[in-house]
Amino acid sequence: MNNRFYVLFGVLLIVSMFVCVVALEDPSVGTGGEDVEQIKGLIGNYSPLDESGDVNFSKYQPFKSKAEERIEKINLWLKDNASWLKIVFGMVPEISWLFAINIYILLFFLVSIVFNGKSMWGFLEVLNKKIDLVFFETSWASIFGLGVFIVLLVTKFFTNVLARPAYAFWALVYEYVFSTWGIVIAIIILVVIAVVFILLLVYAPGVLIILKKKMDARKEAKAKEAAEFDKKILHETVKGITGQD
Amino acid sequence: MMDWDECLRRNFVKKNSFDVELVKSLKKGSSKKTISNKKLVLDEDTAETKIGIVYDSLREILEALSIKKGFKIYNHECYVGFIDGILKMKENSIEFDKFRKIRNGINYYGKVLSIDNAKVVIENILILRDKFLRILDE
Repeated sequence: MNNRFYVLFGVLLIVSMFVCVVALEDPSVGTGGEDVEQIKGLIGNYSPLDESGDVNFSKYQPFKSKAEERIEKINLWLKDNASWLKIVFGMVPEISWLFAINIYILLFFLVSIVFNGKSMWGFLEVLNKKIDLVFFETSWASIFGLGVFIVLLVTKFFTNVLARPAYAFWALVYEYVFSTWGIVIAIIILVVIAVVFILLLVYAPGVLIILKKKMDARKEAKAKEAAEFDKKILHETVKGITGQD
Repeated sequence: MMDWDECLRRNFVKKNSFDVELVKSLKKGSSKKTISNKKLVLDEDTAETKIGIVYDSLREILEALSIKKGFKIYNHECYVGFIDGILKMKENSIEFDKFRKIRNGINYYGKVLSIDNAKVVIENILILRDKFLRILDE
């Protein structure tokens, strides 16, 4: 048993010594030498250190995955074909976190200024009146908010004033969160999107029916309210004319 | 308020044969009045006139309807009884009675209405007219 162990240990030692010695020298592989040189070149690009050991960023070309290459291609296509969207978003749309934050800021202000217009602009009494837009009812405050939002959008307010701090924030988040937890967060987001999508598929018809019912009920209630109001006016008018209650 | 039986008893209503041409003529006259109403802009000067026009337009449809049912009505108050007693539309009869009182107040007592109130009165008279017109066309 012991003899066998020593023999095995000796063989392994010899083999490992051989392997290490081989690895120390450039492999002399004949026809495959060119490939090895290419691989060495690529490996060199992943490090910002040059051969003398000094930092040299010009030679640093980080590794790109297939997905990143595709994203680059898509972004290039968007730049060539959809640059006009810069008017809307303040920047050319691209698959990036910066653009996502930009969209978030736009939506945030859309909700604050337009959808929440009643609270935002309610101090202007003239804007408190309601307006019926057939499918839904809104207030003049929201219409006014939409106007303000468009003006801010056109004047690139959101991009110029808010995108920069957002970018700084993003850089911070990227550095400390996403670079470490990126994949986990991406998976969570994908799972949430998948779940929402499936739920939408399952419940969309039901939701639409409920929405229609609600719309009909709202219309009916509104008509009833109007009829009641008219009834009151008519009653008061008759009372004013005849003097009878 | 006179009911239908009282109207018959006091001869404010007479039995009549169905005159198709008269019904058509009344419908046309009523329609013309609604057009006149549309042409007249609602303001302080026209409010009462517009009410008079749309009321007449409504009454003509009711007259056509009563002729179709075989009656000739000679008293506006009896249209209330007709709507209630013959057409079996109690709420609408009360509504018509209100319009009648408003119109009488304007025509005979010189009453005036605010533009907002006049607008509501006109709109509701036209709604009621449309309702009776649909019954007439059935």
